[in-house]
Amino acid sequence: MTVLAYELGVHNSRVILMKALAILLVASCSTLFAHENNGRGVKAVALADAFVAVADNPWAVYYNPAGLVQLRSPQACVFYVPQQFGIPLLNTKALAGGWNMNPCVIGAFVEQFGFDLYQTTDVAIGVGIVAGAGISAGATVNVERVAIERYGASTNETVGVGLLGRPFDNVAIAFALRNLTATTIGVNRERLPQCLLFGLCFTPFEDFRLVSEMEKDLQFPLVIKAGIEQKVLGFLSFRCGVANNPDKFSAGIAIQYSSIEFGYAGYSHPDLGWTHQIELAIQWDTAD
Amino acid sequence: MGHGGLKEIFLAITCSALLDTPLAGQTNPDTLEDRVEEVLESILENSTRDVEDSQYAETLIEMSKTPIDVNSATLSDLRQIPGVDLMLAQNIVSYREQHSFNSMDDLLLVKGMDRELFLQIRGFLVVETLTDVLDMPKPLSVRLTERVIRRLHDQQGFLDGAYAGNPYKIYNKIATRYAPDPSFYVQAGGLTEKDPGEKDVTDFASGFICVATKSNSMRCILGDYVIEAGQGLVLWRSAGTTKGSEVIASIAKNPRGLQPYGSSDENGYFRGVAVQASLSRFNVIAFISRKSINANLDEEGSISSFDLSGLSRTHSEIQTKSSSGERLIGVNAEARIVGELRMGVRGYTTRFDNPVALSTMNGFHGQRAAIGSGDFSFVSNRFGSFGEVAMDHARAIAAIGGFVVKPVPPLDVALVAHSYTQRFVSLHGFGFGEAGDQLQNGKGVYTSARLDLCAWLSISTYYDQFASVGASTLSLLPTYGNEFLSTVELQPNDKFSLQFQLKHKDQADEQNVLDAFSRTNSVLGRRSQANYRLSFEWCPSSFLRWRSRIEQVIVRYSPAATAASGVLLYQDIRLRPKARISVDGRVIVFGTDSYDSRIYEYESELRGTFANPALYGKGIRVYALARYEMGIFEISVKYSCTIKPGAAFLSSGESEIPGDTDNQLSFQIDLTL
Repeated sequence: MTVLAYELGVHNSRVILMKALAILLVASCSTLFAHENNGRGVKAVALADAFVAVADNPWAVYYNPAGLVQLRSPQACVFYVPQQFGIPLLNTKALAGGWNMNPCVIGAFVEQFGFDLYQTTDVAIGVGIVAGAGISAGATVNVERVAIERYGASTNETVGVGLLGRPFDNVAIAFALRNLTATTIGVNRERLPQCLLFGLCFTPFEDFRLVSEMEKDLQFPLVIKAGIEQKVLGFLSFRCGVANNPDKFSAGIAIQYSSIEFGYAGYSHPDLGWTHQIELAIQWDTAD
Repeated sequence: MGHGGLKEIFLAITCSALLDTPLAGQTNPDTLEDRVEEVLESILENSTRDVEDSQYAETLIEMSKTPIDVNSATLSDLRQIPGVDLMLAQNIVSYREQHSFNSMDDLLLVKGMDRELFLQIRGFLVVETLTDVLDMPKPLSVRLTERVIRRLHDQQGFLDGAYAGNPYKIYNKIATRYAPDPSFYVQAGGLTEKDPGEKDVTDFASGFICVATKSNSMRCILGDYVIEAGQGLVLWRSAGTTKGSEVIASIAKNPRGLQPYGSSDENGYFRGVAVQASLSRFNVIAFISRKSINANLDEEGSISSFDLSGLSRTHSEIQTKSSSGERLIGVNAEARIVGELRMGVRGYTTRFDNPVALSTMNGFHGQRAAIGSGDFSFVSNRFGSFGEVAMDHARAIAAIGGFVVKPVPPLDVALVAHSYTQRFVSLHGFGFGEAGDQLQNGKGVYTSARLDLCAWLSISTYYDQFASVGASTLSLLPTYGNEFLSTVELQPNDKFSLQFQLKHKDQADEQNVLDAFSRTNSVLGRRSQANYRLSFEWCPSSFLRWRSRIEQVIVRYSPAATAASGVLLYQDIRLRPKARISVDGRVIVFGTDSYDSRIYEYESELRGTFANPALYGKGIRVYALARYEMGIFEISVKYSCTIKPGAAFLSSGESEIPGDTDNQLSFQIDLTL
């Protein structure tokens, strides 16, 4: 606490700390996993997290590992959320990458969230394979360490699975199940979020994409999400999305230069305000 | 197996026989067994009862094992095939009279037949050649089924010793068919079943011997049998038609007459001797039955209620087992008057060993009962109609009538009206209505239409208005309600289908409301329920079938001004890596505010059974079903698990399961010789 007070200024440290703790309680599906709501990767966040049927970058490891098969060449990205809901304490740093090892694609990410009192570290590795006939399947193993000051720390492993299919050339459908293993945490054996997600991605034009998704967590109401992505210029893309439970609006841009892409995304929470994030991604071209 | 389940099963029997369109949300199944399952699903997925077993499944399997010769099948035979409605059956017969069928592909030339429907029904039909008849392969066939089901968490009844037996459900069945020459055959079958908690493996035992000519002009059954006749007001198996997504098919029944009994339902059958004789245009069935029944007896020895659960686990349940009996004798006669106009009469008289004084409102009182009815059905290329009027021993009357018309090829319109007087008693009927097993105190008008807008888009809808005609348990005054269903189906190709369904039902309901003094009063109010369902299916190859569904239900109460909602999502995958191996897996996530907002979810089961569990509360359900066919054997294994995180217990009473998990392992082996 002394360190925090020094960093934040004594006069407002208590207010900010209380706000941060309140956010952890209010914004989360599980009080121990508040940052789940933030999303991962600027593309997914800008589309209001309706990413399960898109899943075309290394963050597919989290959203839908079946989407990893869309990575034709090695990719890596650095993702940073400086202040979730304007709270400097709630920052996220993450690194993700994917590598096509024909016939499968391997992806992984590492993410750290939180501050001295509450901190989580996620490490996940996923694999996606083409199952044939326009269908791919994938699985992810996620190891998450949660540390709460004065309460201790806990490490938990969860498994997620996903499918991605293309019944038509411009339509993708997807499903993902998170925490298939029904992992619990703590002495009260609180179940980590267990969700079933359906996604639809429709690409009527080459530069325009519509996405929609439904997410049902066991303990919470159905969440419906939708988003659009428009490539306005060869190097510039706009994205935006909406979701409910809680009501959310999101938007973002991506600027691509050669094999490097810079992205920004922001989303609003009806009570807690805006959160901004940035990402830098690189894609190594391969011979084919 | 309980009576409720049996009834649900048979809701299907007639509806499936009249399915007039490609089944909603389905693509072409890979095997005939898949087809049987999909027929059951199309009929039962809209059911609002929890069912787990059905003779209908057995019937369809039997039909698939003994396909009908399309060159000799009667109109009635053809109408038994799921997907063949009365007009298509008539068109098949008309085509045959002019051309005869040389191959199955000739069916595609029949008016009203499209390729998808052809693929669906071809497994139930065959074009027999002279060589086929002379070869007569396999004069003897034997099918054995052994099924064991075990719930892995014991229920309270086992923990406190209230249940007499062990927690295994054990089912054994043998069915044989012997056809020494083309003109006649002999069927024999038997089954035993023990439910979890029951003591004896033979707690329920059933069997029959059936001798019949191949054309069924003569049939005699000794043992257990069922009879379907007319529109079900007097005689039907144990369940009848119901409303569903098949809006045209579900309204008219196509009776199968005398049939051997092969289900584990412990109520809906007769036991004795029945003889069916057909001569020219006439068909007569005479039957006699003597069967023990499970009933609760009061101090005076009168039957206060029938125990239809079929369970003998606890002391009180064992006490009701075979506590009384019923003797019955009856006859059914039908004639084809002219063309496709058919008329029939039937009746029976029955006597119970004990006087019956049912405690329910409008319940039967007396020791003897009798009932009779007359019915008709007529079908032409574009019009069909049907009706039945029945009268019981107290001269109470029930009547039903309706028609189906096809004014233009893409449009079908149907209407059915029924009126059942308040105290009408039908002990062995199952007719069209809000509750098919209660053919009393109800009236209603059902209208429906199906329009095939184009090759890939169709719309089905029905509107049903219903009311009680007298006092009911809800009110001393008549109550009323209505139900609306609309289904839009897109099928751009034979691999992909998308379906949206809206269902709304408004009916009288008893509610507790607070008055101005904060006292709780029970008042007659309204309950309206809306279900929204979106589902799609994709079969990119024979290797994989993908199904997804989301359904939301909203229940509103007035004047209580309260509401409850629920949502269910499921993802279903079927893998068939080889022709003889299939694996089904499904994940269901559900969340409902109350039991009232529960959502039913039809799921794959072991061969010959099906389940339609109601899901409520907050939880997840997963199951995996694997089947492996190796020669004469087929092995099926299913594991299912329902978890409601944080729940201290599941279910209630002696069925209560401690903890938040209910999992079950099922195993079945089928042997076909």
